Amino acid sequence: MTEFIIIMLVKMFVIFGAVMLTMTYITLAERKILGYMQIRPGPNRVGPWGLLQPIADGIKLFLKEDIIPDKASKVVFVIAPAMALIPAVMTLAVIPFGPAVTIMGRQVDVYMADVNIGILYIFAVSSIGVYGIVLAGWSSESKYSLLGGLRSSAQMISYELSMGFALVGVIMMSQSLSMVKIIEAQKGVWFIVPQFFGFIIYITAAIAELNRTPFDLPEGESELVAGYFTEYSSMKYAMFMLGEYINIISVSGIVTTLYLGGWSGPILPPLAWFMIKLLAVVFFMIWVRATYPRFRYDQLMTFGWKVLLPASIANILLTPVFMKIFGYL
Amino acid sequence: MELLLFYIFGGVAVLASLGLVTGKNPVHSALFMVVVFFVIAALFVLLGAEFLAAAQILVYAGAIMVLFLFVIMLLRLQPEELRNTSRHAFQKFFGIVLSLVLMAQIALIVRGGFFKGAKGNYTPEVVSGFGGNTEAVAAVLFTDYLFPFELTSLILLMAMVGAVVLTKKELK
Repeated sequence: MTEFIIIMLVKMFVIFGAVMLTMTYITLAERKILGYMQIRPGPNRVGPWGLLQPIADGIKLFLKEDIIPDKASKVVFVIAPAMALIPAVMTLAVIPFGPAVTIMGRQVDVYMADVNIGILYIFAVSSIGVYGIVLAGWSSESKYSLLGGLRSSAQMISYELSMGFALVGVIMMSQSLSMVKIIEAQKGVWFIVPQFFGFIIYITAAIAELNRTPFDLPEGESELVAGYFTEYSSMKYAMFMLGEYINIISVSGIVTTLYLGGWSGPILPPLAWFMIKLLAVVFFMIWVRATYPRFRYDQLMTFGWKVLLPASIANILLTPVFMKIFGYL
Repeated sequence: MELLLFYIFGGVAVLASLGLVTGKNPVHSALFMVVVFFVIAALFVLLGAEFLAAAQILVYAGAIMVLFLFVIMLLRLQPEELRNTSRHAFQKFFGIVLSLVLMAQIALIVRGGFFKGAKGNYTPEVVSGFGGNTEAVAAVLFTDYLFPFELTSLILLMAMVGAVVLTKKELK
């Protein structure tokens, strides 16, 4: 029992620390890549190649004055950032970063838990993430925040459906809800090949859930200042940002696990393969951000309900047919 | 250990339900309800019903309560507007009567030794024989309870069509 608790605690610190470090440098990578794609150097003043920029940003945010608006609903205003951050971190618990490794004579898995409802857990936890945004918008008592919060909750409710339906294809092919079993089911061919439409639907819906370009209407700066976190400053603002970037990592981890074969790959160790695939997905999302302009609100809703949702239902219907033809069943 | 966890979660559930009922601010009440849903999910996990726990959070906390909050926000319900109108006094009376009746019913069942009766068919051994909680739920739902299940989806479809008809501005 004690040994179990110690191992879990160590794993918790290692995974959390590694994710925080990766996240910090993804912010820099995003700015650098966006810079190069727009033919400008990006941040390059703090440290060599701007490598100390994320640390400088962190210190800056930490030292800023923390403002709570006079009319804000105080308790909710304070817990909203936490409610945005906690679900993001909770998702990390079931992402399988690598198979068991032997450390000091003990078999230790490089993930927190392999629960047998892994996908459902992720889906349930990520469905709670919207609370942080809704409550932040509501409690700020500011019209920009409220509109941002409303837009965001409508968007997340709309795209969550397609996201869940896209996953059904993967569950059907792997016959399991456990993340580790899904990786094992991809021994022959990665699910991105047989589930290509599911993959496209999932990643589109996931980008919408993350409120990233081209679906970043909740924080459309030209009309809503900054959307739901307009009134937030200092560390509370930083917590929203942390949540957003940890979510980027966990979504990339989920895509890697469900569609790209997880940790499997030749020559290199499994953990390295997982990181390579994860960072490739992160790069893809940054690339999308640099490429597409923002949707209009009615386009966003039409696309979600009239294109993505029917497409995901069609994917559910076609997957068994496909499985029958290619002998999966 | 399990008993201790049960008391912790049960205590939180009771406190959160009290907060839900007595709260003056609709948004705070909605948040307390989310807490209640979470604690119930935790109780499901203690019972080894992890599929139900995930479904509980996904459906109730993740979808229904978000829509509740959405409506509360859209209507901009302020705490003051909700207090002490005559219609609410009427509702309060019936609320008290109905909750007393419900409490009596629960007390009767608990006192009547309903929970001490014979064990049901689905013991932990049977459930693990299915291959897990998810598989067991699926097996029972799609064989023994197929007809009620299909009936439920029909009712839900009717509700959906009803909602679409109600929100359409003009019927052609």
